Amino acid sequence: MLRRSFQPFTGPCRAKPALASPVHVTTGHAADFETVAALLRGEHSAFTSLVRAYHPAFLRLAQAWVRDRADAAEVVQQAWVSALESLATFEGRSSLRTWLFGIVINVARSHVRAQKRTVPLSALVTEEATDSPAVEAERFLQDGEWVGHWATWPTPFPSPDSALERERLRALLEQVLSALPPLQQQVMVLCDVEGLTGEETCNILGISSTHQRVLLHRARARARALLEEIFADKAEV
Amino acid sequence: MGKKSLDQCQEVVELVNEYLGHALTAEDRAALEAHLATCPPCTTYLAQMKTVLDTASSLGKASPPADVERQLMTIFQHWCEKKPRH
Repeated sequence: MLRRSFQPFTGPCRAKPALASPVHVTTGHAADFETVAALLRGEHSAFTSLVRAYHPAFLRLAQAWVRDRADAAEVVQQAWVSALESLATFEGRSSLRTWLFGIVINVARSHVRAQKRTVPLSALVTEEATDSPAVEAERFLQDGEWVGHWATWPTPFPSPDSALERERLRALLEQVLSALPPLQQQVMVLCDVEGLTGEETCNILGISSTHQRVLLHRARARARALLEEIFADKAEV
Repeated sequence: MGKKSLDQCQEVVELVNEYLGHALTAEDRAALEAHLATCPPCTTYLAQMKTVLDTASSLGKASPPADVERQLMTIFQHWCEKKPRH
């Protein structure tokens, strides 16, 4: 008989952010319990769906902590093992997706700790979540009649209308994301790539909502600036 | 009292995130849209941010490579064999 040690979810549904609509394997806590039950019954199709839905995100999250791709892949594999071994303890206090992402981050942090390269979370937050302008002050006129207006206009990005341009933009954004500091990278992956709410992101990373907002603001601003630099460099060649 | 206005581009760029996330007050939103209507560089900035966010949301859709999937299925199979029966 199936052992159900998890509790039914009774909390409120969470609204999805307006700007992200990635494909997800589940649509609610009832579906999460069905997925867990199917996994405990050993249904391969349930595990395949999870892997297809979350493996890329697992890898991005792991790479925020473990920069080497091969090491990050090992961390992700370890996280899947850890998730399977803990599966019977899933209680539905958060969504299955949030629970899985939390496991990946814990495994990645443990890996970094084992390498003795750890930096306390509070230090990272202090370093990465300091408020700064979205665009450097020198891009704007500092005095005169047009003070505060653009001194150097932003360069339009190539239009993502064609499949080729969309693919190129995706490759460049992957590159840009991996260049962000760890917390900014994770907040942007969770919120903008995976479409999690701010609340879910705070729960997974163990940060406050104020820090989450600042980190997301900084990550997006930095990502835009880095893409602009890349396109400006290509235009000069 | 007159309508709120956002004259400086430097102020506008700080509000773009909230604008895209529908988190601005109606008054701020109207002021920002009035600024955008007459400011090509801020319109470009907004388009850049939209491209960043649209591209980011499309990254989540890629599937893992077949060899990775096979490896993970082997892990799942081993786990199924050794886990206690439910």
